[in-house]
Amino acid sequence: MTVKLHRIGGIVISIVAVVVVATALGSVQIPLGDILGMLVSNIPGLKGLVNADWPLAREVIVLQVRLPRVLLALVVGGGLSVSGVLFQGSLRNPLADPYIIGVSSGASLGATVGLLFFIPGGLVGFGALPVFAFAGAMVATLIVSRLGKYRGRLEPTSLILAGVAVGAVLTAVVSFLMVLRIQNLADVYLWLMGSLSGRGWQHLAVATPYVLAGVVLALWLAKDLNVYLLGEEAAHSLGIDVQHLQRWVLIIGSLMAAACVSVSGVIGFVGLMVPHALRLLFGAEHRRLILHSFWVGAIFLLVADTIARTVLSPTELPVGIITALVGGPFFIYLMKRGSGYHG
Amino acid sequence: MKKQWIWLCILVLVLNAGIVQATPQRIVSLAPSITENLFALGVGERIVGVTSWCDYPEEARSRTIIGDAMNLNVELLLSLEPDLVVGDSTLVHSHLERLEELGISTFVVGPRTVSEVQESLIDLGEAVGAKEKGEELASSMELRLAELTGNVRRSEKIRVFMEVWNEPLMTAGPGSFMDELIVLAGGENIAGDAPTPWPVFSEELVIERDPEVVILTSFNLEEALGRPAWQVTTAMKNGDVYEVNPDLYSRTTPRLLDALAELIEILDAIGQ
Amino acid sequence: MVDKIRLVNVTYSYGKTPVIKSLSLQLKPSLFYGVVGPNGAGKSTLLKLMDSYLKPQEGAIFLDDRPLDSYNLRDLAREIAMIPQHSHYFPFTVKEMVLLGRTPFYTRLGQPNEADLEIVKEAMEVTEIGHLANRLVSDLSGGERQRVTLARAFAQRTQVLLLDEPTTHLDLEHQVNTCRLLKARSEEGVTCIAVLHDLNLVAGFCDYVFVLDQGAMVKKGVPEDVFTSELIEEVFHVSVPKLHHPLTGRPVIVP
Repeated sequence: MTVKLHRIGGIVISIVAVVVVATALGSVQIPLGDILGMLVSNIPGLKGLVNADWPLAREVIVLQVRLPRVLLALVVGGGLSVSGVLFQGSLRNPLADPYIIGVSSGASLGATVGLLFFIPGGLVGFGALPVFAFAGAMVATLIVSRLGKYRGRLEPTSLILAGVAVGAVLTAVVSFLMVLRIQNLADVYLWLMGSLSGRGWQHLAVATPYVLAGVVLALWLAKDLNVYLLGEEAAHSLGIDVQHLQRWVLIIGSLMAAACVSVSGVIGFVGLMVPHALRLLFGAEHRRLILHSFWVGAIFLLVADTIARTVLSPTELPVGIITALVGGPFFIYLMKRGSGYHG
Repeated sequence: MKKQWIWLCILVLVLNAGIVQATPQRIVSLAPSITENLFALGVGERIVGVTSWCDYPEEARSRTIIGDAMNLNVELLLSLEPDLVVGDSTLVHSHLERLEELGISTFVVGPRTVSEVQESLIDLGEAVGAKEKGEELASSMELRLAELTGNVRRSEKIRVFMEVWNEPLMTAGPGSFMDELIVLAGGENIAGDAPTPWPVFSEELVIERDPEVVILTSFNLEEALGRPAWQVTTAMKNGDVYEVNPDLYSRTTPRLLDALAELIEILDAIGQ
Repeated sequence: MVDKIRLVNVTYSYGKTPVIKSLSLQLKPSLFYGVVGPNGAGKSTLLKLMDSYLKPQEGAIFLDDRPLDSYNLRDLAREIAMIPQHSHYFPFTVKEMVLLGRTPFYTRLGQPNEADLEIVKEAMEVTEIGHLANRLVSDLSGGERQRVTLARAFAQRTQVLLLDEPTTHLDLEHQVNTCRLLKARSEEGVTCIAVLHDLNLVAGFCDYVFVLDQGAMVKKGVPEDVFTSELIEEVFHVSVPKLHHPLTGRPVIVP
């Protein structure tokens, strides 16, 4: 049941390797040596080791454009995947994803309201967009969890139905607003597509605390989630306060998903497929599932985003196309092959 | 709404005034109309990056493409080392704030009427160190506008339907420069009471209001002529359905007046 | 002998429909209790009340003379194990699933120790699933799953076992084996309460029987006294002849 220390070491090394490779790739060709030099020279105390003989514009490209985007892909990919684990576990539904209880439609409405009503008047800048999206996501989640109660208990089926209904209403409101208002409409479309393009360090600063805290709390609840899979009555008899657990898991999962959506827009597929595929590979034990989902989801989205921004350069593809195109066939293969997990 | 808009433009101008001091030598344009206007201002050779939609004048095609209507390849843009990026507030412009953070000067235009096009030519000219050329372009537009509208010799207004897109049926409402063109040409926009500048419009209302002219801006003449329900309209009966070059009608550049001239010609032919 | 569990005038309703009506009963250690009754009699609800999953609207339930709701859930899980009627099966290995029975005994971030693993091993052996240890529960047959669930409850090592139809998916051999195991547990001092539909299993193995109908106790006592032709007719609307097992002398119910 434990993840061995040397395995964690292997995982960390592979993440660092993928990050370096992804940072080295881009529309603008920059020698790997220069990139490593830029990275090293920004580690405090190591500046003297490198002779910075590259143009300033290139350093800005690597350190201000590529690196934050690469790291954000890791955080969003890992965050969405762990959030997916939490929702699939707490709703005991393998088809659940981070958006199932209205996070995405709430965030879309929040972002749309911000883009159409606040940003054109110059009240706030585009930098405030994550705040609007985050607020929208939380309001939607709150409404859904209120509606998702049956006989005073949070009930998975009611929650899912409430999520679908509220999602439909909010999406309709977004469309309605887009018909009425014209300014910034193009920006609304862009946001709704979901992308990591043009994101900077401040986006990373918004999402990272939520995602990391969420992963730690998810691991904290992992044992209870294992028991919860047995069913509410069985979990109760094993000493788990089921209502308490469900509430916390929904709060943590929603906060993680909201943080990710608020900086990247709605990126599909990752939060549904990564946990599901890993459950097929490694079983349903949650501590393992959460850890593996985090790093696999992180690398998966990073690879997808790197492909999205380089394959048709200078044009960038929406990252959702790549996640579905790469992840879909692999997932079908896993499904057809059957579970590979036998302890 | 319009007032807010002007204030925003002024705000942006004031904010940029401090930054844009030296004459920009490496300019990136984020919209076809901006590219055209920059060439018209005579600073075309200083443009280093354009969008994939920038196709006029021909020379614009030789510049590095840094994105399209939706996406902007930020790293490619940065690698061009621009000292000014010009964006259009009616297109995607959330990138511009990010560029400012990366230390790139930006300038925003967003004219929505013919007179705002004139103003924006002056403003843009000033931003790129070609203020006099901008003023010259603005005043020659003024002259041509007066000449064109002065020649309109029709007493009654001709009902026009301006079809921006066919699926869904979109038209130009009040507040759009296409609506302004119709009015200037002595026509009556049958969608003149629409609530927004670019509304999706009811097909029933088009037939009810019986346009005498239909202008198509999305290369769909054959499809439009084949619409069964539209055959009862005067425009269809008289064969007054015209496919026009959308670039002239949709880009906020001095070429808008070419569109106006064409429109006046079409309406004059009917008015006789 | 002191009561292990005591119900005093317990009433429970789902919405407005009362399911348990002012029910009182006492359960002693070292006895194997059978709960029988027609569908909708309130048998499952009774078990859920004893496990504190449901809270009675009236009356009170005591465990070792202490009100049930004064226990925290974790402590209660060390006292009472429950096998609900319906379980969900996810891709856990059999061993992982049985190990979940040790959940109340180690901390949130702690790991099961040698003693825990030994208990799990023993629980798998007595339920005859040792050879399935590394198989996925989701790949097993209904009867095998049922035994995994039983092993999980055994691994909890509690003084009370509540079982809602533990023999449903089992073949005859395993039905009998399960009842023998429960009987053996009760002889070690455990209070076992099982809802069973097979009256012959109840007659053959249980020390004491509760007959429920429409939320009320119709009859209670040792199987010989309870399973009369009159009672079966009254409660189950089936007439049966009075028969006895030729070897054990216990009642046999054949329609």
